[in-house]
Amino acid sequence: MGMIHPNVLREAGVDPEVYTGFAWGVGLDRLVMMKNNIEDVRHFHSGNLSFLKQFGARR
Amino acid sequence: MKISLNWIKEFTDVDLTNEQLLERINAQLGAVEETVDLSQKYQGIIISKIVDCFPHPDADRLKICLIDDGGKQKDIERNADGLVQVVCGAENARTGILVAWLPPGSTVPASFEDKQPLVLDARKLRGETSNGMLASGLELDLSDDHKGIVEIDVEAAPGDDFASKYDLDDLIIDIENKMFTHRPDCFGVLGVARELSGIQGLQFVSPDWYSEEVEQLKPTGDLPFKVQNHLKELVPRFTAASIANIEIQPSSLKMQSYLSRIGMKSINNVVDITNFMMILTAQPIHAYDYDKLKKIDGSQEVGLIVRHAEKGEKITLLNGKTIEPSSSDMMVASNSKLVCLGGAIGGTEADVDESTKNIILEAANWDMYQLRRTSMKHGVFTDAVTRFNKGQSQTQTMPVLTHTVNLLLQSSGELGQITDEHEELKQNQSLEVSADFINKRLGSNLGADQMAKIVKNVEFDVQLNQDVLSIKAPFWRTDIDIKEDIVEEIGRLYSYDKLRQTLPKRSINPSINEGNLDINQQLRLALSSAGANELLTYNFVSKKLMEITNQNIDIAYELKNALSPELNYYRTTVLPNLLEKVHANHKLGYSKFGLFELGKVHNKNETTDDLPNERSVVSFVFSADDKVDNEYQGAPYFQAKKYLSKIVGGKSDALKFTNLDTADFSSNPWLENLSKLFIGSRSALVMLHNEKLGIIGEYQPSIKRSLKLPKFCSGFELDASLLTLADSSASYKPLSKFQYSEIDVTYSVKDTPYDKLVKSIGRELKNTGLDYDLTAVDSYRPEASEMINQTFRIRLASTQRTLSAEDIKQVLERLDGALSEQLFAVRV
Repeated sequence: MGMIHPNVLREAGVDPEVYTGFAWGVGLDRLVMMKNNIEDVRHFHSGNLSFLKQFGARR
Repeated sequence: MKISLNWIKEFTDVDLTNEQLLERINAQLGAVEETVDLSQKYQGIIISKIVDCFPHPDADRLKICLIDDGGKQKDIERNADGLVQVVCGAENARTGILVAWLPPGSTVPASFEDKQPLVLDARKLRGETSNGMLASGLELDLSDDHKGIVEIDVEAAPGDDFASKYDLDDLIIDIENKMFTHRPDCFGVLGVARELSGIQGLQFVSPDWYSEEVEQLKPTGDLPFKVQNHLKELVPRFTAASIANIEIQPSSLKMQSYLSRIGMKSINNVVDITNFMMILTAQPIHAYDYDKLKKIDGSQEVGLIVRHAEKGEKITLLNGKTIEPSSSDMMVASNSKLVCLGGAIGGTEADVDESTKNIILEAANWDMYQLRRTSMKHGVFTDAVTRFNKGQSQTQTMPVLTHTVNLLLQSSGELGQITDEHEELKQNQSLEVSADFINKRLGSNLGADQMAKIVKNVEFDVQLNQDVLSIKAPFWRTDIDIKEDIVEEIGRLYSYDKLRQTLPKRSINPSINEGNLDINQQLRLALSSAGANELLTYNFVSKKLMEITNQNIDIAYELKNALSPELNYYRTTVLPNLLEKVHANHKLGYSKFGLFELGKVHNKNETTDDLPNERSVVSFVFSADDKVDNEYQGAPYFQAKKYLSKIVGGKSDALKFTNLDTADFSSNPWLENLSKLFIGSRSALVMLHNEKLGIIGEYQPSIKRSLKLPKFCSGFELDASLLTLADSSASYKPLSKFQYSEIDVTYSVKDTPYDKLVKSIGRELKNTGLDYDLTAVDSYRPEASEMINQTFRIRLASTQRTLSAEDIKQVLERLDGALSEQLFAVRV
């Protein structure tokens, strides 16, 4: 985690003297792994129904 | 990168439990990949003294050693003097030396990670009992040496724990390299120790020798060489020293321990010290054999020349590869020959070996960008590349080389010459930043003095002028350029976790629905509501899968740096990935299922400004195995069509299904590849508003065989972006207050397509201005007739009044007239 580089803000048309921000990378899959105690990131891409059926679509 | 906690502790206190330490490293330094507790590997090894050593009566090569373990080992057979008998074959086993004894019950460290680690016991060797063994370097996993047993070379007494004497009771912490991409200093033990010190709020002090002002070494011998740097832009500093009369020998056990703990092999004293210094400081050092350089060039003065390779020049590297360097690679050459791929790896022409007597050590600074290109081009990924790639400090070559020379001279040799080639060195500039600037950005409330302390702990130079900090980063920090870098540094070392959490006060506007996301969400809901399972497969496919599924591989992008060698093509269609998952899931016990994926496809023939167009598709497969396929009526095609109707909903009427075999895909490579999956006689091209939406149907028999698909299997793949063309907004008409009239009509037609008939009826009913509802009831071909009778039920109502029989009659007459005129249909 760090600060958004002023050049990035400038390129986006935002004045870095007025606005600042933190920047960090969050892997969505990593967050889900932490939340559900999933041990292997490869499960997500496995197409294994035994895995997938444990997660229903939320409506 | 592997970090030894014991090594770290030589430079800073660590006043945390291992658990706390790992938590802090994860939060404030970098993600920990894994930890290895070495104390278990080296458990139970006792330093013992050989008190007596004599030949085995029945074996020429074996000796019987009576050892004194200080009485440490319990439950062991001892002689009258309390000594333990061990049989040993090593030549160097002799009376009086201290050795590492692996008593019965201990595990041979080299086998620690094996499936079945070797646990020692007391057993007879040619009739004499050997209680465990005396260990060699190989058995201790410290070196490759198996010729003799290790001799303890530090102050020790019988009974001492071997592991703690040699710092092998260690915790090895593997931190992800990528976390340090901007921190060249953290690729050294010193850098990580400094960080851990800072994180704990402790003042770190670098060793005296690691300093800009280093005491100039004075040569005592004579070993001349010249350095010529023709690449001053790329190699801003080249420092080298020659050492004469050095004795190549095995390193001390202590040195072997340092290297083995972080996973490096001990080779000899010279190579080991250069590796040791690299691990310690992140400054790689290369050693050349002076006499080999001299031999290459004949009578000339020994030279190290930094230059590009000339066309046709070749070099054999220490990894065994022979390469022809490109004209931009940075090389070190003797007067006539290439001897090193600069910053990456040495050549075999001038490497140090057992016969080496005189050496030149090089500590240089190589351009990180050029080195990365060189490393990728030749596939050379060494520890040196890893470090130089992060942009090492130009300042540190001299202090690190000086210390290396001093360490080597402790055991043998004389300094011949030291040369330092450089232009003006890059210096860190002082940055002025106010406490207010920092607090505003962090949302913190720290005093200027607190901030000063935080960065002083990691050896920043700080001048305080009321609330303004004037900060100069130390030479090893090449990442501090602007005020924001200081803010980050203070935030991280103070710990982001300690910052107050407040929600920003802002007015916000709802975001506008993004078309693609919106349609994807609709598709996802529709298909999962219908019981299908969403998959997320890799965007990459193997050559094999492309071939099995008849895909034209020439239009697929091939990846230069594939995740794995098998997944090296960007997919041109999604369906093969889904088909590949069908058999595996049947095997898991799922007898029927729908799978779908919302994915993107690319191909070489559809590009904009040389970039591939991205096509969003929805891909679907339905499969039922042989045990349950009798549950389904009709061909599998219709099962796929049922799911298709789920996603197009009210737009079904707008879809057209046309012949796949006669379709023209010349302008659409995606559809062309997709069509090769389907069998033409049992599939259709799906059209929507005159656009080719996708293909639905059943798969080619060869694909079904190769991927072990069951008989009942079908699916589709559609261009999701075209689905947005369909109007999804419903239009409302007020309901009629008057009663509906219901009539059944049957029209006899010859070869008019069904959908044309439906459309014509619909159009005429609409023109009446009445509310209407049209349902198909029956379709019947009387025997021996070429006409078909199509029956529909029509419900009609007016918003003005109840319809009379006359009204209905007029409507029917109107219908009859129009249909006979347009379609030669006759009402029966």
